[in-house]
Amino acid sequence: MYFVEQLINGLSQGAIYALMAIGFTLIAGEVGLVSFTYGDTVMLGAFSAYWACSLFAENFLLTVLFTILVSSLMSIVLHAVCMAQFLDAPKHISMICTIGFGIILKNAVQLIAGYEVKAMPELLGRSYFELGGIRIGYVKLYIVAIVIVLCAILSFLLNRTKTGVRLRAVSQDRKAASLIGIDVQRTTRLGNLIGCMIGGLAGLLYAIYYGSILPTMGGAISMKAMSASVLGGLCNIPVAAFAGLLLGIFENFSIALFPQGYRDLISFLFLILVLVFKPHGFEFRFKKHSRKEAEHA
Amino acid sequence: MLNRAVNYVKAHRLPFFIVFAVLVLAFPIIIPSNFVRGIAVRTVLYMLFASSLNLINGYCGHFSIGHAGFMCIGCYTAGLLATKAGLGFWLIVPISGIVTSLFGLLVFLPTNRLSGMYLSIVTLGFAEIVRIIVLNWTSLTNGPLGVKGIPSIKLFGLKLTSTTEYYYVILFLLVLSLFCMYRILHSRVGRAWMSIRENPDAACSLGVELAKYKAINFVVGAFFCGVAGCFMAFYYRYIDTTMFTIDESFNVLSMVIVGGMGTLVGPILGAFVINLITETFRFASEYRMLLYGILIILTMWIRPQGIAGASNSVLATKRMAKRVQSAAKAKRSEA
Repeated sequence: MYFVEQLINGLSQGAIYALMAIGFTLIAGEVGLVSFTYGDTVMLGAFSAYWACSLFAENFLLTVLFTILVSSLMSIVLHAVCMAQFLDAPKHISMICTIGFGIILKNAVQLIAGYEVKAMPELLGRSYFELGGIRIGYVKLYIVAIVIVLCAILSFLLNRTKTGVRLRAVSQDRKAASLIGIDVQRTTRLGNLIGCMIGGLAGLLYAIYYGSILPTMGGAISMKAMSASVLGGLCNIPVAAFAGLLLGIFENFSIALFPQGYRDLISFLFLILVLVFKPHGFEFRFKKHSRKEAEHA
Repeated sequence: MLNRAVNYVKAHRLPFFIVFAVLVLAFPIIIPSNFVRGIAVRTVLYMLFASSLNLINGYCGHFSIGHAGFMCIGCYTAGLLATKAGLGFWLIVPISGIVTSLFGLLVFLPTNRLSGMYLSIVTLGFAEIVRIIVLNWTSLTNGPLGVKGIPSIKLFGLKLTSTTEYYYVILFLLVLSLFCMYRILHSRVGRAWMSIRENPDAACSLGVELAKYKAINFVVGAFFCGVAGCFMAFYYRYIDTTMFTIDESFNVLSMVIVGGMGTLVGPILGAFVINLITETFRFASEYRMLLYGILIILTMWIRPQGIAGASNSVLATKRMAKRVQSAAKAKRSEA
């Protein structure tokens, strides 16, 4: 019984992690940008959801729209400050810039919202149903459903539209892409925007799921997103999503084995084990282009 | 203007050096305020931390953003050895250095084949792992309560108590470490590091064993960090895990980036500048980290190698596209 309960918790938590991993993979792999701001993007998404709740009297739709608005605005600023200038410069420069931007973001939110833990209102209600003696909150189902819908939209966007082709072209070879008439700046901006939007929405779901948010939670979050997307070799969205799901399930079972304080350790260990044994991630038959090509770009 | 000043100083190196050395040595005697002396000790301590990070980031092309992990290990090794085993400061300095460098090797082993962003992610993860383990291993580290009652430093049987004496101890450690670093950097090892930073493939083709020298780089960088961490434990007398959060890593990192990577002077200058800013704007201490972020981005925009960084290295290249464009334009106008 306990096992099934933990599995369900793990699945809904893992769905959020999967969404984060998808956003990060999109930025780092598909578009080929380096971003250390991602955890703070998710954090900002959670906080903008929190602010929107008090602004719009806990209207779910308006909250979602507000979150999307805030994270896309942030992503445009991020792109202008940290990425657009340095597309052809050595990668560490843009990386350092995003670290600086992350510091600014975290501390700005900390100054505005304060240092203490904020309680997120229960946007999606607290009702639940019982199935064979297990209580399952509707929230968990909603979260999984939202994540699946978002994944479907994204997969359509990336694989079936011209925008998706452009994004992948830019990630493979910027010079060649610009030669055939793709606006590289615009495309990377768009890729970063989509990635940050997904991150913001993941932050919203995270806030709803856990019910409490902190300005400093970005570090642990970015670790989870990174470890999941590294498992996919940073380029493979389906594998990254799957890894996020696995991570959520692992984490929930680890609570039964280890003390509570060690929970965040799981994702770090997961990450390091992956990097030791499988540094290029798993590339199943979804393979479109290898990491080497992405790095080369 | 700046170049002229630098050239002037370079031409008259000795007198400038003597004045500088006298000023540094006489600082705690000239300054009557104990508060300012405390700041000076902290600044010199961070100079050592920043220098050790610069060895890793500035010389070998790695990008470690988890320096707080090494600081934590050095500090706790010293604190625990001093309180539980009762060893003296001068014995613990090398021990905590060696322990920390072992952990440096531990970080390096999984990252052997990684570079760039992956390596940064691992170092960040390492710092957090260290912090979480130290926080939760209550039986050894006393958990969230921290290590209390670390004794003061003894020199020839005398207890050092005043800030002035601590200032001289850390100054001695800094100068000694800088001397060692200088010697290392001007040996085969240092040149190998720099060649790896400039171009790993070319370095490899010239017979530089990448894995070996990268490992040495991490070990040496972590060693000096452990030395500084040991002093930190003895100076603060009390350590806990809140001193080693990600913010602390970024604090040291911003010193290295702003001051300059790839030169010995850079991190020293950076630690001085950042600490000066922090202390001057103490009334606005909440905005401190915000300012660090802005400074980091500004440095990358204006001068990516930092104020006094290695300007002839790969660290100094920025916006290459623009440079290529302007070169092409110049060519066209010539034609």
